[in-house]
Amino acid sequence: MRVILIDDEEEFVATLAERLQIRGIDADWATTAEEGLQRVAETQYDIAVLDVKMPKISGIDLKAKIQVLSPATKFIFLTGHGSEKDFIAGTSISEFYLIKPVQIDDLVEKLHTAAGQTGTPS
Amino acid sequence: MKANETTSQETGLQFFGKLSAAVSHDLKNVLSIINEKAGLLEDFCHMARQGMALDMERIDAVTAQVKAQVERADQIIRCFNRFAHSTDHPIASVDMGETVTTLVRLAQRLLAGMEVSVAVQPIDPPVVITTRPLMVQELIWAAMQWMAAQPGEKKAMSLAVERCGDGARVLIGALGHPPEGGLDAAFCAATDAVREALQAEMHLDSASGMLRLQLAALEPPP
Repeated sequence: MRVILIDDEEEFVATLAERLQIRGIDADWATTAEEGLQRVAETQYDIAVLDVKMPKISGIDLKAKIQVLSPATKFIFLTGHGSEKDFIAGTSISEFYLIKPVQIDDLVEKLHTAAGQTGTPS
Repeated sequence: MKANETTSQETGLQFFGKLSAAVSHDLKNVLSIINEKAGLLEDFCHMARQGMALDMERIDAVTAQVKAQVERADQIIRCFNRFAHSTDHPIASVDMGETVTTLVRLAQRLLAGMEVSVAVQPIDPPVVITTRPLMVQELIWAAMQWMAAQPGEKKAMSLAVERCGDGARVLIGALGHPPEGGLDAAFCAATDAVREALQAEMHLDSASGMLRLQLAALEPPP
C-alpha cells in the first residue's frame, strides 16, 4: 500500500509517516498542496491522507485536485474539531475521517479499509 | 441599548470567537505532534524489546522535539490568556506594543491562510494609552484583514505603533504593494461602531499605501 500524507505541520506529518513506515506501510508526506500535487503527479498513491484545514487550501478542495491527477486514489481526512467532523459528515466522504490527535491503530485500520474498497467512498 | 452598541458587541464576540477558534486549532496541532512523538518513542521501545538496538541520539532528538512543542503550547496559552484578560475591563491602560504583538502571534494561522506575514516593528519606549482593550484589537485586526484583502500579491505587512499626544497611532503597511483607491464604504461601515467607541480615526495615505489608525486616549474609569 502506498500512501501520501499532506498536512501543514511538518513535525506531525513526518513523524506520522515514519510510524506508518515502521508498520510496513509505504508513506510519503508533504506540507503544502503544491508539494503534495507534485508528488501525486510523479507517483501513484493508493490513499491520500489530508488535513481538512490547511492555511491556503481545504482538504476537500485538495481532494478534488488530486482526483484529477489520480482518479483511483482513495482519501482519509484528518480533522481537529467536532465542527469540522460535522462538516465532513454532511459530505460524501463521511466514512473516512479521523480526529486529531490520531491514534495510529485507528489510522492503520482506516487505511486497510479504504485500500480494500473499490470506487470513491460515499 | 443603542444600535451601535449592539453592533459593536456582536462584532466583538465574532472577533473573539474567530481568534479563539484559531488558537484551539493551533493547540490541537501541538497536541497532535506531541502524540506522534510519544508514539514514536513507544515504537522504539517496542522494537528494542524485539532485539533492535536503540538509537540514543534519535531518542534525545525526539525528546527535545517534544519539549519544543510544550514550549510552543506554553507561548500560545500565555498569549491567549493575555488576550482573554483584555475583556476584564471595558476601559483600561493598554500597552499597545504588547497588544499588537500578542494579536499577531495569535492570528498567525489566520494570517497564513490569507498568505500574509506581519512584521511588528520594535516599539521603544512603550506606548501605553487608556482605551478599550478588546475593541482596539478588533479594529487593528479588521484593518489588517482589509489590507490583506486588497488586490495584488501582499506577502508581507508591517505593523508599527507610535505615540501621538495622549493617544497612539497604529501604522499598517503592505510592503511593496499599497492598496489602490481609498478606504471603501463597506469597510468603513463595518468598523463604524468600533471606531466611534474608541474615538478612532482611520486614514489611508494614498502615496505610501499606509493605513493609519489614530486612537484617542479615553477617559479612565472612575
